[in-house]
Amino acid sequence: MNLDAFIKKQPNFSIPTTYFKVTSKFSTIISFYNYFKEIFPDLETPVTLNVFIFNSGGLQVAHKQFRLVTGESTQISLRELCAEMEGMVCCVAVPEFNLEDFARDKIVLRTKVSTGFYVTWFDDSNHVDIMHEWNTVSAGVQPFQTSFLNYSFLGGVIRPGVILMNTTHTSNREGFAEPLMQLYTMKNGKQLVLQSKSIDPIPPMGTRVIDIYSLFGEARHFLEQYGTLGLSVSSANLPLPLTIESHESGDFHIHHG
Amino acid sequence: MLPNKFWNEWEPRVSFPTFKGVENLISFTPDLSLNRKTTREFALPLYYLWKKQKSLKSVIKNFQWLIVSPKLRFRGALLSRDGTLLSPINFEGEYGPGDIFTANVSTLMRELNLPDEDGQFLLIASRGRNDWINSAPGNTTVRYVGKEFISGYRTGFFARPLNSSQKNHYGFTGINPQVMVTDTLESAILLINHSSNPAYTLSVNPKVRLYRNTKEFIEADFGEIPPLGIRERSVLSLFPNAREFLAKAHGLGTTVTKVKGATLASFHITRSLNGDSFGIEHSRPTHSYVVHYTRMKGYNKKAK
Repeated sequence: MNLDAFIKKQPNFSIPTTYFKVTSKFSTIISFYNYFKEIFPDLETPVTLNVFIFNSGGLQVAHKQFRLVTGESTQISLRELCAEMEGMVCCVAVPEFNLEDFARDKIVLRTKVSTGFYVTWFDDSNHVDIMHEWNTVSAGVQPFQTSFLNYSFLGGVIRPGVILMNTTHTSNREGFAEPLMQLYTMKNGKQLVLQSKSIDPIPPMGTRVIDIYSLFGEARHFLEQYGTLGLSVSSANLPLPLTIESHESGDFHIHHG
Repeated sequence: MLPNKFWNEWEPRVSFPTFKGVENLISFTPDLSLNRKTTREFALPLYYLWKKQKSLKSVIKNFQWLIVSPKLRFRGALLSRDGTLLSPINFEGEYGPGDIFTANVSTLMRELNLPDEDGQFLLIASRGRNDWINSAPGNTTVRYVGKEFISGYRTGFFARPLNSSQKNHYGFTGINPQVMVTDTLESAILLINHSSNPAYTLSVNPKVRLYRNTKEFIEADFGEIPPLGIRERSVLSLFPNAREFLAKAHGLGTTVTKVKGATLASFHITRSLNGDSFGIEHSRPTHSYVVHYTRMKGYNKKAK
């Protein structure tokens, strides 16, 4: 099933996402606990966990379903679901029971039910990081917004980066993200823009990993000079990005903004 | 326990664990929602006043923020892991949307001649947004930088009642489905016994179950967490036989941590056994992705 058909079939479920990467040396694992057991402790609450994988160009490359019985957990290695690539993974748990019936007179359901899950990234040198799920997929064009991130020099051992994920799912040309990124610092209590760059458009459901030192030629020099730099990212169809920072030892740190 | 008026009820705050032997850095950039002036922003304080979720004093503050749009100021405190106040901290400067606040907590500790030990840093903002649930205009960053690694996480700060006489908690359940005990990686649980009341006095004693499938689990006491304290326990320190227990499940498992009568902040940690890397993340309130708690009758029931 493609995500478009899923959204039409299950309009009352939000679809959270996160960044993934699978190479011969890098792994991504998705972890999910069927928490409906905690909400309806006396009832059987099996779910089907739907995992959709999109490559960095926004093309859906996989959809797998996993049945989880009441209270079951799973840790899914994305290596088993797709070839070597990076991009966006979406997970959504759909109850195999009638959620509205179970909820009646007991709880007030959210208009859109979402899925909490976690991600573990690790490489073959034992570097590891973890995060919870992040931005949800939007079936319509998302409004223009500006997000702010910041980086510190930290003795020059950290290389800063950003992961831009266009979570708009539409075939419409208006679904592209066209980010403007500005590197800035604080001077006398005011923001001073140091460099600006336009980024090549990111297609719907596409992911772009950007090395700040490669994008902004003088970024390392600025970071050393000012100690801390801000990064603003402005675009439609681009919710709050993730940062990716690499330690010179080989360790990495990925987190939502 | 902290002094009674250590923060005002309308000042959002967040506690971060700090770790010995690393640089602990905090930063925050307010987003554009700080000064948003929509009808909703004006209506929310009145709604919360009507629902008795905010005091008149807080609501007056909220309207001052809407009219004047003051910039954010920060102060904080260094605390030990058992919640003892080591030193209050005042920061210079005011911060509007896009401005960058940074603090090197490790440098502050060195300047105060405090020993390099695991601790915590409490960050208090002078104001937030008017939304009682989502009061943070952006996420605060903590970075942990060692000789061989970088880690950290981001989260918002909050002003809503927690573990106080204003809020009755049935209990806490923290679920970590990403537990790993392998030849190279080991998971841990870190819990914060937080409160919106600086004079909070309740210690908690959670129980942890380690599951390898839906039916088979082993159980352990997490150990006492004092009021405003933080405690970390690795899976192997909680369950010395975890490696053997999880062998059937390829070293993968789930922990379910429970305590009655209080709520906790819960974190997952995964460390490489050679000490070269670790990841940390707060738990997600997955129930609230399904249940609209604030619309449920008795949500804000006061403690008896």
